[in-house]
Amino acid sequence: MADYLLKTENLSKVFGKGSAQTYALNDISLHVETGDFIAITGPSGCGKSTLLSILGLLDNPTSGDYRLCNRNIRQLSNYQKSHLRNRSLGWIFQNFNLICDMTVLENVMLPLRYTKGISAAQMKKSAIECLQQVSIADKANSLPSELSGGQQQRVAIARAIVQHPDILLADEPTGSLDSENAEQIFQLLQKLNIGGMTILLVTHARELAERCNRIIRMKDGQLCDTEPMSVAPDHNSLYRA
Amino acid sequence: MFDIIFGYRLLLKNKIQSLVIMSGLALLCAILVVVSALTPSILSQKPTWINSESRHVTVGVTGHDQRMQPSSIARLEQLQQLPGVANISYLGQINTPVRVAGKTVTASIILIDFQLLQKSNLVKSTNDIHFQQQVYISKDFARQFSHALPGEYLTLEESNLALEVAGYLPDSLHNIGIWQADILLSVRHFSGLVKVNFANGKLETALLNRIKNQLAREMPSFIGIAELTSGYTMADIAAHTPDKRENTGNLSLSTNIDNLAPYFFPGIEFAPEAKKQLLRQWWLLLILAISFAVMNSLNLLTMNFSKLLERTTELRLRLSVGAHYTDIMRQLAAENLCLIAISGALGLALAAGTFWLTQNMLPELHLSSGIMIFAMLLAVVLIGTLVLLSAWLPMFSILRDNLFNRSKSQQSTLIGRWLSKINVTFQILVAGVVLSLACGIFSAQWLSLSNINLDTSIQQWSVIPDQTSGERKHLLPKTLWQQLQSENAQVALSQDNTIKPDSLTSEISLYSPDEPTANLVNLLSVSSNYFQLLGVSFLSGTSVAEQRVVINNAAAHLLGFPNPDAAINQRLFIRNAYLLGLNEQEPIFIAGIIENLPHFGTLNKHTPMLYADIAMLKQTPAVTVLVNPAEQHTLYNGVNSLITANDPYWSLNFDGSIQQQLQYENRYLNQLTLVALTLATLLSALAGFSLYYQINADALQQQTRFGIMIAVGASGLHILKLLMSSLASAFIVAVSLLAVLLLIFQASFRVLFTEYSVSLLQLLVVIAMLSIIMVLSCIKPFIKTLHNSAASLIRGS
Ligand SMILES: Nc1ncnc2c1ncn2[C@@H]1O[C@H](COP(=O)(O)OP(=O)(O)OP(=O)(O)O)[C@@H](O)[C@H]1O
Ligand SMILES: [Mg+2]
Repeated sequence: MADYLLKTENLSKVFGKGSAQTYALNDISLHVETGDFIAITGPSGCGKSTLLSILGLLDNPTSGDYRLCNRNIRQLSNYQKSHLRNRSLGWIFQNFNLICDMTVLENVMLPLRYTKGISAAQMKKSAIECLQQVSIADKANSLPSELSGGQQQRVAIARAIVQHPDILLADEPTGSLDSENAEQIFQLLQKLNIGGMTILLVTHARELAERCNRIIRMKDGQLCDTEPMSVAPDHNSLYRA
Repeated sequence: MFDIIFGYRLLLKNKIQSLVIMSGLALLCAILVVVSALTPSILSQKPTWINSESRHVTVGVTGHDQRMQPSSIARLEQLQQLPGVANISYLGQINTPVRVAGKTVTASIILIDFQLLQKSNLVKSTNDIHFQQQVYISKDFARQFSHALPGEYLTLEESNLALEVAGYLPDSLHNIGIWQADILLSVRHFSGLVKVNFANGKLETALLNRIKNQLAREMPSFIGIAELTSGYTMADIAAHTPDKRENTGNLSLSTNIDNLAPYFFPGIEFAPEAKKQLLRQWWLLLILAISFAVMNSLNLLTMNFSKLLERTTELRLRLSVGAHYTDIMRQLAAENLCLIAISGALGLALAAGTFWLTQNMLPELHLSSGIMIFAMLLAVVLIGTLVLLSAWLPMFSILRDNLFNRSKSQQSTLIGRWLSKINVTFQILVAGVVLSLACGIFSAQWLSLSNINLDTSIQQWSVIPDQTSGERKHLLPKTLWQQLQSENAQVALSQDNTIKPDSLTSEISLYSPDEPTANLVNLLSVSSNYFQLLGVSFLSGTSVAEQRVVINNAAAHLLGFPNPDAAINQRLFIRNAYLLGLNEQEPIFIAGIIENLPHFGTLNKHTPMLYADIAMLKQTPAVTVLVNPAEQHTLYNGVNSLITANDPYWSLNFDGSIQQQLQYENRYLNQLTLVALTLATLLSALAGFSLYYQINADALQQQTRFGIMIAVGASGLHILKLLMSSLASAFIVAVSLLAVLLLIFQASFRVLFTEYSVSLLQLLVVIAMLSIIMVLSCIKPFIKTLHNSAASLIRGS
């Protein structure tokens, strides 16, 4: 049987205690293979962001198993988790989350700073390469506040891919952008996917979700069903979990 | 009104932080009140009752403790001849019996020149002749009598002179410098008050008066106040004043003040040393007040800044719906009213307490409640201004020009960050300065107390004339103290108390007593077992004996001996050897060198001393008996029976152990240390708290940043590093500033606190203490960051 890049079993997340308890995630089992481009959709508050946070190791599940790159994350130390986040995962947020008093270049170089044995020159080189990839290299020395929303998101993408991660996690990356910019960002993600990167994309935009090769629909913290993608069928099976 | 309640709610929201800020403000308020209330009285160089603005110099003699002591008229008169001295007035004191309203009481009489009285403008007397027939009495003195005294006659017992009580002394004249006044009298009556007793029969009145006149001129009871002609300064007068008095005239006496150097003080000042001590504390308070003020304003400013930053949207909204800047200013003012009111009330209560204490402990300051009320008003206004400014300033920087401009708000976060950096640096600096001051004072104190090289448990008793017996004797019979010593080997004798000897001085020299470079030493007669009983070891040589004296190490240094051994058996010339009962015709030799003992208190340990054998003394008015605590009881009984058998008019008084007396001598130092340590603890606790909150608030603002860093793979260690490194720059700046400050001001600290010493070790201790505060302040935000999931950090919950 094929090794999954990422696999969860009966994953649950509970917030709050006692009567204020809410199940943000309830019994989620799914798996993702290398090269997938998955859209996660669902109504607001259904737990998409929570799921993504857990998959991206930004939060811990209350119960259930989660294996990433063949490793049970429960058995990982904090240090190993940091290492995974640094090398294997790339994050893109809806509100960009650039550090406002660092220049564009410094923002992109940030993940490299947490990797041992890279010289400053090398860091700069990789960062510029990534900025070129998202066509924003000319703004390398600007501050994030001097860029438009679309430009900021490109910078965020450059930061996410600077370590060539296995999986890209994007939580509504187009949510704050107009349709034209949203389209550009989505095309950028598609390009990366074709380049071999696995992408998990949370989005409200149906037309974007339908262009992914798989859609995971959620409701009240549970998966309802998965839909075959309308475009570009590929080697992956349609239904898992 | 709603705004005030809202402000109160804001205060309650973060109780501890509000408490820190309030206590800081309250302390500031109290210190401001005290500083401003003390300032006029401490900084004025003339007593508040002198109106004349002319240039004055106060002249006395320098005592063993380096303080001003009264001189004699004969000596002060010499000043009159100097160029630049327009005239000289005298102010003196004597205790003498007076008879008023049928009652005889001993009163402290202040003798004053008519000239000086005129300058004071307080007592109305038309001319000198008139004043010579009057006295003024203090209200305290008058209270002993059942009826009003003005208009009655008061008789000076000694001269049998009756004078009219012209009125009461004004309050400001009750304490004249070092003296307390019962009665104010013309200086011309002084000679009549000098008491002369001749054992056998009466002298001729004319001769007696001559003797009395001469004695009055020689008695060390007067301070001179010289008025300078224009163009002259105190330095000119000091330069031309002879160190010693020329003995002229046929009937001249040599008194022990002739050996003391003159003392000068610019302006009119009767207790300059006491005020100088206060001046130090005043400076300390001023420095404290300033650093407190800066510290508090920075705290308030950063607190208000971050609060306002969170409320930017709210404020902009208010502006967009039509509020004017002044409306927002009013709102902020109302919100801060609570803070001002509570801390002001606390501060005033504190200040009132301090003020009451000061007034009781230092009555010579003449603090009036008018000044106090003024100071309180001033402090409250200052605190209010401080709070309001700190509330308004951030508003202007946040709401400057464009209302909804994104990069502007970026700028104000930048200002906020700088503010917090400056705040952190300053808090560390304040804590550092305060801690190193406290450390310095504490260690100096510790050193001075732990370096006492004698057995401090030794008890001292004095044998003195019995004050209650009607028949007064002035000299102790030699047989009595000879017997005392031969009774018990565990008993040593000295002419006076070991810790506070009322010692005589003399010049000594290795070549001739008259050489100009002769050195002044203090003289003390002791028994030969004195040093052994005290447990002091000889640096060289042996104890005192006939014509053989012991000097201390300080004196040996003065005489220029390369080492203690070199001094042994050297011949010594002592100008006033007769004071010690030594034979001036025969040579005198140095028998031994002893370590410096803490005569005159621990801080005057280096006073040069010369000890001679008490057996050589022909007579003495009193002796001090030193005894082991174990032998004390036997001694007490033995001496008492000796006294009763020999002479019942002597009594044995307990003076306490050496330790007790040292503690007494050190009491001001102890108080200062206590005050410094308390304030240091308070200040550094405040600084620590502010640091803690500042770092926490900064960390809170950076949560999103930490979340992002974790998302891109930073580990907890990286976060801690970031937290620390953001502090490290502030820390390094603060510590280097601290080092520079200490280096620059070390000398002034020494002047400010004689008991201050700083060393590298202390600096390291202080830095270690500061680091602990810093690390502690970092730990909480760090744990908080780790505790929350990165997802919630980014979301900013
Ligand atoms: N830190 C938290 N504490 C308590 N409840 C939380 C927390 N985070 C999320 N929740 C709850 O979990 C549920 C899922 O939230 P989540 O943010 O995952 O929704 P979402 O699907 O991403 O919504 P949206 O489309 O609006 O972004 C919600 O009901 C939310 O109230
Ligand atoms: Mg979401």
